Amino acid sequence: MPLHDLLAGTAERFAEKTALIFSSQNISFGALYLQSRQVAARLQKLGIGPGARVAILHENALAAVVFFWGILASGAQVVDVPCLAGVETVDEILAECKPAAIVLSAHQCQRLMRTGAKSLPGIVLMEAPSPITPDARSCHSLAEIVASESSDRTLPHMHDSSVALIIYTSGTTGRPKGVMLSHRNLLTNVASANSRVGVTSDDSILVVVPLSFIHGRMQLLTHAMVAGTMAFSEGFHFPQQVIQELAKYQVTGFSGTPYHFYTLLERTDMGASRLPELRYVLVTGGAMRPEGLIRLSKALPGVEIHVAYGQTEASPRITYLGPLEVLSNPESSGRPLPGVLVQILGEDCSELAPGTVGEVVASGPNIMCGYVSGDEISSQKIDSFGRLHTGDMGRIDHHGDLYLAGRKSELIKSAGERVFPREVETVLDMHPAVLESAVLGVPDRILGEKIVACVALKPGETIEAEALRTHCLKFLPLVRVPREVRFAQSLPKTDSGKIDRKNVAAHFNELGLASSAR
Amino acid sequence: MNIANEVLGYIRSQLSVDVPDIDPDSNLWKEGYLDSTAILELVLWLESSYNITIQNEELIPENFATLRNIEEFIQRNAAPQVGSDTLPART
Repeated sequence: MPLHDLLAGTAERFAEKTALIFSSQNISFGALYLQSRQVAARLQKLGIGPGARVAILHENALAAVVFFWGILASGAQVVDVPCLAGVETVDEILAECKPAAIVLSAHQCQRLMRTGAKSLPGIVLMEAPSPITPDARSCHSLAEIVASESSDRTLPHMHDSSVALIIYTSGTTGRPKGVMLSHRNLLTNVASANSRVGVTSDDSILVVVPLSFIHGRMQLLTHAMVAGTMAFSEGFHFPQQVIQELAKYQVTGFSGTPYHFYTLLERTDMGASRLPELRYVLVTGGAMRPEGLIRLSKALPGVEIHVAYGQTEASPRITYLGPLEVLSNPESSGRPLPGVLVQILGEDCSELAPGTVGEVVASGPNIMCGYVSGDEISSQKIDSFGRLHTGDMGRIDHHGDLYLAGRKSELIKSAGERVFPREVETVLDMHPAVLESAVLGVPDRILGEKIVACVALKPGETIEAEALRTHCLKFLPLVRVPREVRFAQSLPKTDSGKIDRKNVAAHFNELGLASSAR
Repeated sequence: MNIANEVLGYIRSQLSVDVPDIDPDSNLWKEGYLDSTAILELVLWLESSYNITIQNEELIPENFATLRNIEEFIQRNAAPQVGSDTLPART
């Protein structure tokens, strides 16, 4: 079944029910479905359909969701571009995926025009007519589409093995990777995950994560499947306001990364707030410390805590831990979802015995089609058996529960963002004063991990940590900029002369005694 | 140098180099200049730079949404010598 049929089925049964709530506008499932068909009709007239791609670079907004469903209805593929990506990164992404059109918010359009994005496609879709769109391009506003297009055009029926969604996320070399997910990848995972969490049409959720992340798309697809209402937060900038929104919208559910929950625990009065409608929370996008899960359960008595582990390349959910197990076994990441097989493999790819630590490898209908770059096999992310090598280390016990044990790669998870050190090191190394750098993740109470940099300067050069951060901010969003910078005469090397990452952490701690850190 | 200018200088140096010369009443968050991780950093910097403690219940838009809000918050809460050179009143 193609994804748009989820919305069609829900619109038929729950036409008048509120699908989306934003601070200034709501929309019912019926209206959302009809407007998505109107968008699809416009895209068809523009020659955009099966085989084509339409990028979305838009903050959470009603128009962005309508366009999302409309793109799927047309048979084209949605390409989610992260809103915080720098203009150079946006250009790289658009140059690689070559979309026929792009959905832009006014803010993103202004940003790209101001900084001169080079790879914008010829067709721009926006919420309302804007005077700031590039004049050589054809601009279509949702307002005009809804006023003029038919919702009755025959639309293509896509095979569920075709690509529906491409999400750009961090890659090991620092260049963003376009993860291609099929209709089947996403539908099987949404259904499988919800068979455990149990969201129904009686449920509603407050959305704080960007829809351009797989976490956000899962919430959207789940609630379209079950006819649950999604209320959109004004943003996580003021955590106490999020607590007020939970109460105001009387939502039954909330989903976030460990960063969101640590922030709510540290910076709000969540424990003293009355949230009688809140039935469950879902922690995903990173591992929450057991003591954090226990604190969360005490702050939200009677509220179910669910935990899910996965990654974008797995659509994304791999394992799940239910409310009872979260409290009795908080170190665990749970058991594989229905339909997903998890194996622990050694370096020679042999399956290891229970209790032995190796790489977590997943198989199932949720495993991505591949990367847009086409290197999923050459990069060994997918092996010859079609298994996804997650890059996470772990063990499975005799009961079948997964326990994570660090990472095979140097991936850093900070505030729910996936950051590969190479991306940050490349930017640091661009500074004329820097000889070499190594970036690592260090445990942080709220961020999960904070990014820290060890930097060796060229002989005779001096620079303050703050100046290096300013330099990084020109190329990276804040969440990827080192929180702390420490300077060294040189960095530890392997016999082959490469930076010895394993020793950088020890070196880093020694440097802490004479640090230029913030 | 008034507090608002100091804060803007910090923001442009350490949080987001894309922030233009903004009006003291521009909404730093709604207009997309800063994301949610920025406020954690801004709070830490304000606390150490102005020797104040920002309580959880004070972390609200009324106190931090604009440069003017931030300046007025610091003046209310910081030691008496802070903030002698302030922004012109809103017209």
